[in-house]
Amino acid sequence: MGQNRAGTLPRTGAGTRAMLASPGLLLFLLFFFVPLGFVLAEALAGGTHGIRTILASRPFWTGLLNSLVLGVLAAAISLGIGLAVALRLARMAERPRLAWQFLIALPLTFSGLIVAYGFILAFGRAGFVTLLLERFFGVDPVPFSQAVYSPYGLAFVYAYYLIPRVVMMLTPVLVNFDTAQLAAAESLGASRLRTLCDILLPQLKAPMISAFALVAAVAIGAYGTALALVGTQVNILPLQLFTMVSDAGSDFAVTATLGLVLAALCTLVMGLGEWAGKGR
Amino acid sequence: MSGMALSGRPTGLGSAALALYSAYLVTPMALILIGSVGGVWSNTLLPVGLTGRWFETLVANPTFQKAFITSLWVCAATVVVCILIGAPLAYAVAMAKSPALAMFGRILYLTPVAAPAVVLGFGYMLAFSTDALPFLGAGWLTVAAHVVVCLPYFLQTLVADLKLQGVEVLEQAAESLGAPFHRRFLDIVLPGLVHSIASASILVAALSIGEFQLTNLIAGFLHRTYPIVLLQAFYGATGFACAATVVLLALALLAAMAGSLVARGATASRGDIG
Amino acid sequence: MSVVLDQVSFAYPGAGAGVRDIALEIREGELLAVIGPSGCGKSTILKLIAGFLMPQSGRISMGGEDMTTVPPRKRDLGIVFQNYALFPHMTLAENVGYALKLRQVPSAEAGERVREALGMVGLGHLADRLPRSLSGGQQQRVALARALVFRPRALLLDEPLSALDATLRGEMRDEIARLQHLHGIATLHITHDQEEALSMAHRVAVMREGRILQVDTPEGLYARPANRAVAAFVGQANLFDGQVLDAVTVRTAIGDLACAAHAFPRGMAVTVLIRPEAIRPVEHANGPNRFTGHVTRDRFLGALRRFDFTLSSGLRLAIETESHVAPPGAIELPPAAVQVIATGHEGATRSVATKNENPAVSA
Repeated sequence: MGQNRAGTLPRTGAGTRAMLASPGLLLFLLFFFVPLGFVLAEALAGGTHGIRTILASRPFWTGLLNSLVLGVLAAAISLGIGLAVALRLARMAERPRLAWQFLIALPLTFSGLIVAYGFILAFGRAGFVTLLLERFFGVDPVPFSQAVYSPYGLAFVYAYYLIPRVVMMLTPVLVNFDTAQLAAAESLGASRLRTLCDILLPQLKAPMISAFALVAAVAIGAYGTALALVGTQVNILPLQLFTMVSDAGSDFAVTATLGLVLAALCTLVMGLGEWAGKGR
Repeated sequence: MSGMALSGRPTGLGSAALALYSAYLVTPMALILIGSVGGVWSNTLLPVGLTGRWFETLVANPTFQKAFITSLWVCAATVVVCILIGAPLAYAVAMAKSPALAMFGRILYLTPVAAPAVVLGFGYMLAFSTDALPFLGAGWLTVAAHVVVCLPYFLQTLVADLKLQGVEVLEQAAESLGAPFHRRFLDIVLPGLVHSIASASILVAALSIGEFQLTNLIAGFLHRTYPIVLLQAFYGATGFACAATVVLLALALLAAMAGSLVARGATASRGDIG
Repeated sequence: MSVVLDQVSFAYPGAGAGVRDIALEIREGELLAVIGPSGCGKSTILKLIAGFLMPQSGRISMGGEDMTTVPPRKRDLGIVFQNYALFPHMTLAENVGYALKLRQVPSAEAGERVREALGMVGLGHLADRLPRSLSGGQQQRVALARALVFRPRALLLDEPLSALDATLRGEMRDEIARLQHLHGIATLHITHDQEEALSMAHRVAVMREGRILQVDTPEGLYARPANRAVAAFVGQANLFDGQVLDAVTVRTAIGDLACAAHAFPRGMAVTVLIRPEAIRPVEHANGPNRFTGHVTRDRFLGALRRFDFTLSSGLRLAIETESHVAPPGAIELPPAAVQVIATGHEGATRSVATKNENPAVSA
């Protein structure tokens, strides 16, 4: 530390912090950035071959569209339900709220496989709910169960572990929200709905946008649940990529390019959310 | 903080939504549990008969046994590495004065979403099957991958806690009393982090046990973890698949309960301080 | 041991804030308070002395020894932090004994000193409790015991009373003053509460915008403020712009006032200060410095009474009298009570340099 000239903290200097951080940095370098670097290198090595092949491929465009539909739909469902649940939770006393949060948080650490199999049992061809609907409402089980295996159905399944994320992001904000504002608005003559729309939601906009973008990005990038649920039948980008990755004969340059496209898409969606959430 | 937040009047709509949501939440889990002890389940609403044979078959199955053990040690190793690497890293990030380090922390939080597992997995297949780095299929590589997946969550928990506790001022107090860095870290920082390290470790354990997407691409045949072999079971008898899934479900529940116990312990020991 | 800051400057990177050319001495056995509005740099001074910040220029020494680049842990300073910063996982005895443990004091002796220190603040019976089970005042006492137990060279108090409620604050003022006196230790007391500073400190430094405006005894500060900012900050004050007419007259908006202005050149723009309690109610307005007007507000404050007195010119003065005095119809500003002081900061530097002389007028 230079005498008398240096900046703020002569104590635990930047050097110590860098040293403490270095094992973690090294690990990420080696097992995150290096592998991604290889993907990038592989894509670049093929020149424009990869990107041309992808852009010319019909399945890519269908997959992209499906993935976007899945991402937006899953995020919309999750945000809608998540917000309603969070609003209800925020109105509870602390003890029941913690109990509910415990239950709701469970799917966060679930393997996607648990979710997939649970939904097969509930909404599959011979699923519990499918048969219930058939028995009581005469719903034809075949198209019903097929719908679960479509991108729309997948969105419904993904919501299972995306809703908890939304709830966990929004509940603290709502709990800490200064409710005197709502009382003030009502005392000025606003209806409950107006109060909600004019006072609460505008202030929740930022966390809602980031939550939406985050869960949309997760839904766009995930393949595990979909694989367990429908194999590789449904055309979404991560499954398309998984198929190419597991097929030894596939063109590495094209696979790598598709991987980059997928990662870029997820980053973009999440980045947009961060930006839009912060920017106002 | 206690009592009622937002306005106290419950709306019927909110309660109905919550009820409907909890049905959606519980149904799949309940069906898996029922299926695991049900006899035959084929085109009936619920299985017929009660049996323990699915679990007996599962326990006797060498593939599942081996995979379960692999999962346990991968999980244990992941937790240990996360603590050893993550605790110092969390401290460095929480105290970071340099924008670069703070930025790195932010990027790290976003990595699990920004780089989908399937892309990262492909990267592993490319990078670690080279002559220079011929590690693909090694058990420790799976551990490294799990650490990469779990560390951001571990870090988030610890950094939030460090900032909440105002560790910086506590450290200044210790420093003014004469404590050099290593004493401050061991006497002040670590004891204050015990609870969040515990809860973060439980979270990491739960994530590692259930990790499928990345492991599925990189685990060698000898080091397949439980979720990988579980996927195969989905194509067999319903009861067996349910029983095999129940194992993961039970572990996740166990982790969640341990987590909330730790959280309660932390609240109790901290009282209203901080 | 004394602590001396010699032309110390510090600027926070990227921000304009900081402190400039601070010259300050905390004398042995003295309690020196630093007051000023938030953001004036008073906490920066504490951090500089503690070593948590390092000055960009200047020197900090203790007992004649240069400490400018010595790391905080080797400065041997007892610090009481704003929110006490007690270690939540250690008992009171462990908190207080931590410094002794670091200094490898034999455990028998350490135990004795910890007992003594906790006894000194009246918490001997709670030695095995954890800090969170204590009230704010008790935590404050532990923080004091922890800061004093290792016989530091000086004691630094960073807004020590700001986290306490009003009733406890008075009690802790006395407690801190008692302990400070008992240990005879040079003490720096940072506060934004002027009453706290004036009632506890031997000397008070008034800060604003990163500079020290004046250092003086509480009485001196009140009676002889070096400039307008100090006069406005310490106690109640009637302040008017004025212009020196001659050695005994200053022209102000309320009229020409007879006063001692010989320290200022003729024609200079100055500030006139009249303390509310120095204004005398009188029967009639015949005579120098007398004015008619009427009371526009009358506040009964127990032993005191505070009037707003509006002159016929429309200007308003604050007046303080004993509470039995009836609202007057005229007032006198006794010439000796009309102080002429510098308006700007220039006066500040001069008066710090010559702080033992009489900068303006003797009241």
